[in-house]
Amino acid sequence: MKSKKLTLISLMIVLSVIVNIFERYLPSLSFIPGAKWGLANIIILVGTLFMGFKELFLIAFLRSVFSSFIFGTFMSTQFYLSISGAVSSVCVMYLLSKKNFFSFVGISVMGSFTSNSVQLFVYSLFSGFVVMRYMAVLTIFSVLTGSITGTISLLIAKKLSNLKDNLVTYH
Amino acid sequence: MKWTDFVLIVVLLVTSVLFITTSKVSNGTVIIQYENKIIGRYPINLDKKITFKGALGKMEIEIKNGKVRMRESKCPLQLCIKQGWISSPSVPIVCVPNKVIVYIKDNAKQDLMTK
Repeated sequence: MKSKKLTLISLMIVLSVIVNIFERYLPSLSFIPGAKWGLANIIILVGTLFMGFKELFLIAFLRSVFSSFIFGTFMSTQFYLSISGAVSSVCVMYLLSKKNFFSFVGISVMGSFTSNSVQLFVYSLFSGFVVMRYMAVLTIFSVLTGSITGTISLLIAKKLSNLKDNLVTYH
Repeated sequence: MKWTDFVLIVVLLVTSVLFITTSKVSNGTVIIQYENKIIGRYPINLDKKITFKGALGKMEIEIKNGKVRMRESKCPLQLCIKQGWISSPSVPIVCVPNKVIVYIKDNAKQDLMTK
């Protein structure tokens, strides 16, 4: 049972690293620096269906670490931004997924909104509070990308519900 | 989708759009900041090209018709250049690899955040 859980977590981490790499090949949102698709959120969102907080936190944390190894940004400013965003958004998304107040779309929007705000805050520690003005523009994009990832996760969850009997829940 | 999702999306969108549209300047200063220090101030209504040094080398901004843009930068992704012209104080140009921020400050209004 324990090795099964270990395998599942490792698979989810690798999956989100792959999604992170894949994201770079999508048309970039680069006219707004800092805006990302955030597709790795899909993995976390789907994971809330059958995993506990510890596992999800591990997935988000290790995903940023391993992606930074691959992109060569380990221990740089970008790495701190990425890890703070990933960790904060997984906390918010897990809490919201327990409350049953939002559907996946709302949870995902809140997740990307938190990740953006925390990233901006962390970046403002490096370079002064002026960057907080950037919040408004980033919020518009986090709503956009959050709705897209939320809708994708809804579709995946629908597919997964067919196999629900085969899914073991880990809490 | 639940109705709460729509409420969340609409609230976030409306507040940020309001925030952007209410912050236009006629009389502002372009401020160049490098590693938390202000290294240059230039009036927004005076057309000018300014060259300075970022963490990765030479950078150049251009001020024209009350707008400002990054013209040249040595950063790998060139996000700051692709961002194009900005004219609102709520949209700074940020170049993370160069540790440079270029933003517009409204002279008419005392800004709490820059204090």
